[in-house]
Amino acid sequence: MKSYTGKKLGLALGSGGARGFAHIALLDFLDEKKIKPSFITGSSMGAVMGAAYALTGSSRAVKKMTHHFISHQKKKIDFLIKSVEGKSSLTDQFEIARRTTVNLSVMEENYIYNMLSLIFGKAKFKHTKIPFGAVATDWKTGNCELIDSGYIVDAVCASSSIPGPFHPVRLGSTRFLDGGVVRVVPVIEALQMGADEVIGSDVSFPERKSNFKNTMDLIGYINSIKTERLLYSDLKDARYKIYFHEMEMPWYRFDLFNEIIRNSKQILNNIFEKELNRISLTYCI
Amino acid sequence: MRSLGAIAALEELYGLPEYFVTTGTGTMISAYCSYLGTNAAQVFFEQNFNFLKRNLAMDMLGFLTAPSNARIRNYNLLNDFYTLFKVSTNKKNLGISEAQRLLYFIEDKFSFITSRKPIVKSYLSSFELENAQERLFQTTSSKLVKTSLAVVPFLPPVEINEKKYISTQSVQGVPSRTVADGCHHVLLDTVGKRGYFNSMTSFQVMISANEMMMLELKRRAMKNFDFVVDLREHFSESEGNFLSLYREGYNRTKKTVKKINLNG
Repeated sequence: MKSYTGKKLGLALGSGGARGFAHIALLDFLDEKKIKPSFITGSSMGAVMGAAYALTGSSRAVKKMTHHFISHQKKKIDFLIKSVEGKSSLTDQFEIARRTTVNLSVMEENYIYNMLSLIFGKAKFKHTKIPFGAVATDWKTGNCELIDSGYIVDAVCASSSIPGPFHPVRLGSTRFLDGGVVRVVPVIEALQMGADEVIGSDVSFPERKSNFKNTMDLIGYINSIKTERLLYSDLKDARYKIYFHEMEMPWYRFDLFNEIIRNSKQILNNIFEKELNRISLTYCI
Repeated sequence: MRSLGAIAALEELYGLPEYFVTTGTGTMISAYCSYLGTNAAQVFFEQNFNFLKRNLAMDMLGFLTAPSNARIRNYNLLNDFYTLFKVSTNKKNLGISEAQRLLYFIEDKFSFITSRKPIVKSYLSSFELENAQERLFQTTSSKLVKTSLAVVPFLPPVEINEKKYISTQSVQGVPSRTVADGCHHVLLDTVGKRGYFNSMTSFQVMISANEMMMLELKRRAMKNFDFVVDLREHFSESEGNFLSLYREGYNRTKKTVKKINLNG
C-alpha cells in the first residue's frame, strides 16, 4: 500500500518464540484500519507470522491457523516447557544432555519441517498476496540471508531453526540457522525489497538481573543482551517502532497463545497509541 | 601478542597514541604499554608468554574444528558433555576454567598500576551486567584489569562496588569508541574469524551461534573506527611462540598502514 505521498510501507516482524504471537495484535490493527503493507519480512517466529499473513492477507486467518496448530501440538509444547524449566524427569534430562552432545539438534531432524508444513503445505512465495521474505543465518559465514523464492515452508523452517533444539536447515548447498541469531527485526531487508518506510515490530524481552543460577543462566542472560543490542541497531532504520517489552511472557510458553494476544493488544493500545495514529494518518485511506 | 607487535609498529610510524581503549586480554598489553612503555611490555610478555599461553587458552571456537581422528572426536564429545554438565551445575564460581592462578598473576604483576603515572592514558572496556551497559574505566587498578579479562564462560564476573562486570569481548568483541573525538581511531582486531563454523553437535551449534551474535555486534561496532588492522588468526595456526606472533603483528600493521595516511 502507498501512502498519500506515494510511499510504500514495509512490515518487519521480529524473532521471539511464542512471544511472536504478539505480532497478531499489530496485524489486527492493520486489518482494522485497512492498511496493507507492500512488503513483509520476518525473522524466526516473525517469519512464521509474516508468511501466514502474506499468504492469506488476513490477521483473522493467521490467528485461526495458529490456534489450530497449537491445539494439535499440546504434548510437544508440554515437553518443551518442562525441559526449559528443568522440570522434566531425570531420564528425559539425561536424554536431552546426550542429544545435545551427540546429535546436531535436540529434536529430530525433520521436527520443525513436519510442524510447519501443517501450516504452509506446498505454498510458494509466488502464491503470496503480499511480497514476503524470511531471513536466516548462513551457518558457515554467520551472514544474514534473505530468502524470497521457492517453497515458503523451507524458508520459514530455515528462519526458525533455533540453534540447539532444531536441526540446521539445508537449502541448496547452504545450511541455515535461525534468522534471529544475527537479525532480530529484518528492517533493512524490508527496505531492500522496496519499502520506503518500515514498521519494525519487536517481540523480544530484555531482561535485567545480576544473580545467576549457574553459568548456563549467565550465558543465556548475555545472549539476551546481545539480542537487545542487535535489535536496537536493526530498528534504527525503521520509521515506526513497536516494542512488546512490557509483556512478561517467556519465549517458550506457546500454550499461552490467547494471553499473549490479549496482553499485546493492551500494550499496543496503551503505549503505542501515538505510533499507531501516525501510521493511520499516513497510510489509512 | 600480535597486537603488541602492532602497537610497536604504530608507535614507530606515528609516535605514542593519545590513548588506548581495550577489552579482553588486550587490556594486559595496553596497561603495560601505557604505564611502562612498549619495550618493557615486550620484555614482560616474552618472559611470561608460556604462563599466559597455558592460562589464557580460552578460544571459544578452538574445539569446534572437527578432528578426523575418531578417537579425538570421541574425546571431544566427552569433553562437551563434561562442559555442559559443568555450566549447568556450577553455582558458586560462574567461570569454567581454573581462573585463580591467572587472577593472582594479574594482582601480582600489575600492582604497579596503583603506584605509577601512565605515559599514555589507558582505558578499559567492561560490561556491567545488571544494567547491560558497556563501561569505560581508566586503567587505575589491577582489579579493573580483571573485569576486562572476565570472558564468559571461562572466567567469573568481577564484582566492584556491588556491581558485576564481565569483559566486553563476551558481548561485542571490541570496545566502542567513546573516549575522545578528533582522533584517528585504529582498531587492532584480534577477535574471531568468520567462516570456520564447523559444528558437529547441537552443543557446538549453540556455542557457534553465540559467537555469530557477538561477531555481528562486533561488525556493527567496527564501523566506528577509522581503520582496522586485521590481526585475526587461529592461535593454533601460528607457530605459537612469542617472537613469531610479535613479528606477525608488527609486519601486518606496517603493511596495512602503508595504504593509509593517518596525518592526512
